[in-house]
Amino acid sequence: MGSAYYVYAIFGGETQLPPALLGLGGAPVTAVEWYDLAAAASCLEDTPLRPTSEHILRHEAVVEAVRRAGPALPVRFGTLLAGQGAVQRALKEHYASLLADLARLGDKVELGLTVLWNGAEGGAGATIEDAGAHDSRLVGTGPGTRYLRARLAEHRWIARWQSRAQTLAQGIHEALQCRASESHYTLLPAPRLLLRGAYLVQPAGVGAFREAFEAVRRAQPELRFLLSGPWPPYSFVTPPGDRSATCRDIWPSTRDSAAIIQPTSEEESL
Amino acid sequence: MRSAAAEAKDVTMLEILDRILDRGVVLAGDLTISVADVDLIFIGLKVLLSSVERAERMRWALDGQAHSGASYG
Repeated sequence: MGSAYYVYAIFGGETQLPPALLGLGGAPVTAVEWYDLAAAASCLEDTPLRPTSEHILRHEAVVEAVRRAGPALPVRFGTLLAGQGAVQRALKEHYASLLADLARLGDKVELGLTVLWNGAEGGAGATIEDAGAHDSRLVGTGPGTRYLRARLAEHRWIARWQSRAQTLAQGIHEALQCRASESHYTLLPAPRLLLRGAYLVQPAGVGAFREAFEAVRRAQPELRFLLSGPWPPYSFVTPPGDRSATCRDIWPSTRDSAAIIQPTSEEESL
Repeated sequence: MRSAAAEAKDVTMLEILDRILDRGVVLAGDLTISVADVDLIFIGLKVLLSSVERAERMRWALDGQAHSGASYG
């Protein structure tokens, strides 16, 4: 790995990193700057990069520490670049998107919602047999008819509990999204999971959000809720595919850049 | 019997894992992460290492194709 740099967070250049902040392998976390952006990074000499609990908690601890010092974006675990110059090139390449995300998300927090239900076992209050398969077109008692009747009953049963899931999830989400500046949820990410949601709120709004959450929980005693956070806004950063405006629009191609990028007079004039 | 604190710690770890492995700022880079001495390789931005939730979604989708969604665990 040599002098590879492991990146934890992106922050504004005016923010000062906390002193004596240690990253993976006990290496000091330093700021790698590119204009008014900076990356919190540390050297990862020979430490194998594994998603152990120690590494994951250290990554999260560094992100949290940087965010206590000022607005910052969390970087995905495992972001290892070839050196300080590669970190600067990455900041340059994604400059516009990172700057926009930092302004939109830097000082906000994310709350995570998971709702468990008993789904098809009881949530819809019916079995496959209850769903019925009465259809005038399915006459007779032969094996083919029995098979089609069973498939029809199964289809109706699934449609019934999925419809119930949709109604429940929408009700929960609508009660909470008004407390958030941005939100999204996934319906039935797994059969036991009714929904998983993420809600972006101002730190000062966390209390009000939790009050709204408690009201939702009390109204749905048959469901099991987990509200986690506040987290750094991992779920709201712009995905790579959606970065419509990157610094390619602003800066010359990074392919021709030197290992450690210095702004040219032409770039400075932009 | 496991303590509530141990269960809370596991839940916290799962919530962290779900976020930091699958979300957050993606910077360019070819990465290799090893689990139990087996390299799980990131090729460009195509992430092979997945969160529990994504893996569960994929498993469920495959189950749905195989069983028309009627059978699940």
